[in-house]
Amino acid sequence: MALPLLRRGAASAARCSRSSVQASVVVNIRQNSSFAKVEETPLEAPEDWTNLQLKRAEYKSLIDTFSEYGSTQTRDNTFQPHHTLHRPVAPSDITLSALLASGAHFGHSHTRMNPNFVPYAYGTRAGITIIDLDHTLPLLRRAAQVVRGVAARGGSIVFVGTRADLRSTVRLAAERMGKQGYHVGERWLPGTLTNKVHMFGPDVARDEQVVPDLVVFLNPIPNIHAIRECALEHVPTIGIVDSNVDPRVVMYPIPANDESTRTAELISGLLSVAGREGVAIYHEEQAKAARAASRRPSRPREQHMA
Amino acid sequence: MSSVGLRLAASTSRAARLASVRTQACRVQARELHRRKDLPYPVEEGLGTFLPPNALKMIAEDYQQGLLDRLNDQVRGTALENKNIVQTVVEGARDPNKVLEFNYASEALNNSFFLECVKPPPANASSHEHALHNTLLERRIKYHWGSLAHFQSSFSAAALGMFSSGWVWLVTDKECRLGIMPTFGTGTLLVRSSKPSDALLEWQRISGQSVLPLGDDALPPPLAYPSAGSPPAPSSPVSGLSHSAPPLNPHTPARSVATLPKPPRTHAVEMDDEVNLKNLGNGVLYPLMCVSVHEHAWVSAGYGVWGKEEYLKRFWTVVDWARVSEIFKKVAPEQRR
Repeated sequence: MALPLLRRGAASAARCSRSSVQASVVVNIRQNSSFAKVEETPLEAPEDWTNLQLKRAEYKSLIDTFSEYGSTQTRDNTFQPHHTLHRPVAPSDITLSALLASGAHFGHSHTRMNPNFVPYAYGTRAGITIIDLDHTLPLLRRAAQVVRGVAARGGSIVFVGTRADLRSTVRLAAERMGKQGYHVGERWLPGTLTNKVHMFGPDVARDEQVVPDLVVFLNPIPNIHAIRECALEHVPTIGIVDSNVDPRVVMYPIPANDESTRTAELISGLLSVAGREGVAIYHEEQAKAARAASRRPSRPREQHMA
Repeated sequence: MSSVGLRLAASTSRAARLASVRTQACRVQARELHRRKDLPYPVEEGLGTFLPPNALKMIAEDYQQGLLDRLNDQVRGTALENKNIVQTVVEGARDPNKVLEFNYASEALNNSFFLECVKPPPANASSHEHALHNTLLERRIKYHWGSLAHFQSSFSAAALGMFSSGWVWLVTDKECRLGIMPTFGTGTLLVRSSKPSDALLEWQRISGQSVLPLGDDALPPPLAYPSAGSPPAPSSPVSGLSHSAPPLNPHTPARSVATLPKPPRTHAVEMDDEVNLKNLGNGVLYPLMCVSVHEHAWVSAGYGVWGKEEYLKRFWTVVDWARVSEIFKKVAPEQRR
């Protein structure tokens, strides 16, 4: 019974080496057409990299040729792990089960629970505080309304997420909001708001607006100084508060798990989609105002002459 | 908090305008499963004289959906659950524990490809060959095999030489060379090994075809060209090696796979020569069309258990040459005139 071509090939390729005549002569020549083997060769020269790129392009072309056959399940209509980052949920579509699936209800150890957090706690289980998502969901929607409202009036919003896994989240959230979105992914420099002149220079601090209109904190505890600066400069804040934090540190708390990447991606994605809608509203209003201004007839000059 | 009435009012005007700004990505609400694709032609009418409706239904619906159902059962709850068929084939090939997933996915992919490169014959003609007139594909077929009839006979010989089930493919590489390539059992063109399997060697002996050589050391050297009789260059380190090509079989049909003419060679000399390696066609092979060499196909169509030859003869009446030519143009756009 003929075995499938590839199974025999893979096994025998693993077993047999190149014939002795060739082994001493050549190091790099690859006779096989299986891309897996090409990937395993270490790259030693720039030509190796070029060859790898060419082979990769050819192989991708083969995969594309085959991709439209087989079944209806494609990469687009199934869940892929990067979708939590690149396909944010709209504020109108957020559900309790989505929050639950992202692990937003896991709080910290019950011994560390802040007494002011009690209204947002569902209870304790397995030594940790369980956060009540029935409170989280409306507070999340309220935060989305705030973001949309600020953006619709031309306000600037800063997304702060200073952990390695939050870096790309805040960057994408800011990109969604165009000119009105900013992000801090590395470290909030102390004095950004309270020491403006030194940080930005006297010209910029005087002529431009360096204080944002809203700041969103994905991990408030390491950024407590930033929160304090915002309070000193009277900047409204939104933040993901966990069970060991006093919810009153930020103006619009979202009680949720601050250690979960998927929760942070879900929440910042949702807020940035709301922000994008606000930006669109702002542009629409600007365009309407511009159209009204251009249509208004210029009367004063004629009256003066008459 | 706005009341329901205000919210509804807002939803009609502003939300409608903002609909495009809302999340442009698709939200996966329900889990997708592997389901068979619908064919571009109706299954109830069959494929002309090639496959009656019951046989086409058996292949296109029962067999295909059965393969995908079994694949769904295998991948449920595993990492392969959300992968498409091509990815399942590639990952199943790399992992020896994923034999069933690979087999089902590969067979489903090949079956789907086969079903989409055939079409019911037109009402006023016996086949779709008129779509081949004046295309690049027709010129390449004529260049390699002499005529379409010669190609068809070569292809059928390749399929008749297979004793096991499998698929026979018309393939091309990025230099627009054409060839006939078999895959046995649940083999696939997506992952090819460096050494030809025993099944491939047996097929070569039976059908007299020689495939694109996959590796010098395993295959017998290719048939020597009549014009080339020169010994290796005296400066080559292996000029002393004696190497004789196997005797030419006068009854061998035209080569099923063309390579650019080159002088006969010994093993070690060619190893150093990068240019000649490319001539061997070890690059990626792109599929253009295929035929299903499975007993369930011709037995269910009523040809009988030995009806393979008649099955292959009638296959040519339904090959969708327009589509094959389109794939050829897409895959090998660099055309050497």
